[in-house]
Amino acid sequence: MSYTSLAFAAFTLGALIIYYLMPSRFRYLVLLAFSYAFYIITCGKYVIYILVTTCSTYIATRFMGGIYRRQKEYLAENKETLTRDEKKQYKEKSKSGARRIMVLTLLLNFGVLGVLKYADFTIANINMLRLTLFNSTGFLGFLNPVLPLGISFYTFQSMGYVIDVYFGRYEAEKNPFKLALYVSYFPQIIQGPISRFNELSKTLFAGAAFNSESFCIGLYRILWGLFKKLVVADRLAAYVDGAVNHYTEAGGTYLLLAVFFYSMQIYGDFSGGIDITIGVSKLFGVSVAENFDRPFFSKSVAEYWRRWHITLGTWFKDYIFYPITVSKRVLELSKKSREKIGEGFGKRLPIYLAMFTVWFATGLWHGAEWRYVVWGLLNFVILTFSTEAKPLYDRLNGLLKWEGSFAHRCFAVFRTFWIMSFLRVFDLSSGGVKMALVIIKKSLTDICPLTLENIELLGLDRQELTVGCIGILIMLIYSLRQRKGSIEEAILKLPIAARWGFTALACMAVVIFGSYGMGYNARDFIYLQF
Amino acid sequence: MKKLPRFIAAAALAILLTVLLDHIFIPKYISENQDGSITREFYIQADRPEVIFLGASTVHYCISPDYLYKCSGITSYDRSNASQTLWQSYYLLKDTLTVSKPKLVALDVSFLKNGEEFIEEPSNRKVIEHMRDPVSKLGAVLSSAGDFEQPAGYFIPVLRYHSRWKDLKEEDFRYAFNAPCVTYDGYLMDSSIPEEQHIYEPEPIDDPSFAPKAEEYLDRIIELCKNEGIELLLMKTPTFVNSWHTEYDEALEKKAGSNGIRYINFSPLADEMGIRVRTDYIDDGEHMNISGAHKFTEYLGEYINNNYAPASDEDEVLKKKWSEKLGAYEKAAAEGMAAWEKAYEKYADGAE
Repeated sequence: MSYTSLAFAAFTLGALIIYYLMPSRFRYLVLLAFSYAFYIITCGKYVIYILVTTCSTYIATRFMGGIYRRQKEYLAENKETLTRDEKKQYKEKSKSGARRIMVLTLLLNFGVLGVLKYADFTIANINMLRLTLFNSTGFLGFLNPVLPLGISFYTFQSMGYVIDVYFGRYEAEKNPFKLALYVSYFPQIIQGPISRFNELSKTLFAGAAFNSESFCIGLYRILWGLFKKLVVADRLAAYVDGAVNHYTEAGGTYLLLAVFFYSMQIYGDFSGGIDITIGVSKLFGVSVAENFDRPFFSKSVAEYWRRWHITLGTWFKDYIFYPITVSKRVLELSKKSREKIGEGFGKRLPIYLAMFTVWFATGLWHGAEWRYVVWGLLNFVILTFSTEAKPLYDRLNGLLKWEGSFAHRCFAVFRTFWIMSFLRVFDLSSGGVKMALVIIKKSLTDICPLTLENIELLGLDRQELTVGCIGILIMLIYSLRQRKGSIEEAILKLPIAARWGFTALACMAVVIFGSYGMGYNARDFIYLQF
Repeated sequence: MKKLPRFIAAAALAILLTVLLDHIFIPKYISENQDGSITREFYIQADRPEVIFLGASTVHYCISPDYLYKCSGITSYDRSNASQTLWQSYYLLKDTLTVSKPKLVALDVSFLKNGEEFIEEPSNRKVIEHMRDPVSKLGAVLSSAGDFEQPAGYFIPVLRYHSRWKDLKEEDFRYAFNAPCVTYDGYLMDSSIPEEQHIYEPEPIDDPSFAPKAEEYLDRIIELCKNEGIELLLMKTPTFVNSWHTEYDEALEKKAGSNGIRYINFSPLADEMGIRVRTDYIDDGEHMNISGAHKFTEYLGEYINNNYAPASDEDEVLKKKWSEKLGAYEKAAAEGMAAWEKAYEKYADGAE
């Protein structure tokens, strides 16, 4: 059941009616029932995986919570009699017990995710190694496991919660139904965002009263998401697919256009989906974390990653990057490298090590193929290079005397946009790294004039191209206007005639120009596959 | 509660906009594919028809309700469509009953041999999308729409036709709310004679049984007519196609007999009607031109009057209305026959 389908609209409407008919304290149960219904309708028997994750998360966090509670009680009872060392020893013992539970839970859940998502990738590489090194053709058979819907998202979200409870950032949830809802909440199960328990739980279990303003904002957000997904992303996809499928014959400029359109497509697709998630959540009075902050206006790659898929970036930062950088071994390494290499690079080396791990994992998270790993590591290389070359940039900017100027900002935005767009070619190239490199090379070197006829041959006729370009322009204007605050709230403040006129036009634009139904290839959200 | 009027106004605006878009985007079937207008025009043109014709495209090419009225005084409407399946015939009949109750339903059985594999979206659309009774329409949609179709698009057509924004013509706006009638009570007039007519010999068949779903709905039609006290005629219009077999006739005669209704295959009677394959059909002996249609309609009128006698001229108002309609039809038919005669002169050689 796609978020853009009428079935989903009907499903949400049914959920809303029952949700608001229920007394406030039972509303989270309605959401839980509908979340499981959504999962079962979409995935059937694979609901077992989400149940395993939910149960293991609940049991583990409750055990950890128990350990910390007992520790607190014991220390309070024996406050006067225990020495400082004895207290420390007791705390360490408790922590060690909790750690064992956390590690076991992480192993189980990431193990399931690993097997389902990466088993065939591993087998393919083993087969390749055997063939290359030993000329052996006794290939291992593939498992072809089915990837349950949203497994990466709910696994990361749940394990984030387990780690937070382990570190004592908040207490374990006692109500198993509430935890089950946190893991399975249907508007965000397909493509996130990866919400934090302490943030999402504030509104998810509150059973908020109906608020017409919040409801309208939610509807506008859904409308905007549908526009981005159906009018822009799915329309441009026709050209992107056409150009990439014919990358050997297509001229470089056509491929460059495809690279540009793919950036717009994936932004429209992913952020559009998130807009729908946030909008639907608002209808229920639930606040979900924002996942995008106008990323194409970033002036550096590092800034871009703070503004694109924010919740994933934060997850990796909080649960991989920081734990690595503060781990004993890395601190020791840092000390040694500072002694041997010097204060500058020696100090940064452990950070790069953590960054390497993060970007390797981010690449793998996006897909079990080497092109995704290469994509992740290229991000790492660019970020490292940017840091190391900063003094050089500063000197250059000093010479040009343009730092902070409008021209400099435009240049920085332009440069970041195209770096990220070219990196995305690895995501786009189903034929692997080699294909991605050919597309990048051709689009930079094989310059040829663009004609409407050829663009049409690759999938977009004159009218479709016009609508696609207008859609991109509207996205740009929207993003620029967003700097002044929420557009949805601004629309609500308009005089009623203007507001209704705008709403009618926006609805008509989506209904008429949306790429859906017969005559169009129905497209899943790109991030659904992750 | 304070915001209720505003909510109602917003809902009304949304409905209004949807209706507007539906009317603009739905194909008009005026200048082309006119058979798509038959379902829509039923509610405009049909004046308490005594006979309703149901079936596939051969019917709306070979039966002219206006000419039938002229020859035999029978009022009728032709609710056949291209590739109309038996389940669609059933729901069209149910839809008809919400408007008026005919005395006789004449059902062409050509599609009894065709099951769901013959489902095509364009044909489904032409039959169903203008149906007015929502319950019958829902039944027709659920029984007809293939997996590739979205049932909601039958009720909110803009969801299906929104991609026509590039192809909208002036007639889509001009006829958005007042499309003219392009058929004559469901009859599609054609005056052409092709350069060649190919008649193929019947091929032997392995399995003479009907498609199970089609037969199930034939039984439902029989049942519905019985319950409503409507006479039912099962007929096979005169064609010279090679896909009909005597085994079908035998099975239908048996079914008709056991249900106390009539079945007649008019194809072997074509000679008696004066129908000539060469000059009375537009395509290899399947669909008739105006000459063939008039010959068959005249014969059919006599058959109905002899066997069912539904013609009644008690209602003077109705008679007047039909006479007015007949005037317009006769004018068009005269032009049609003139065009046919011109074509006849060209292709008369070998007309026998």
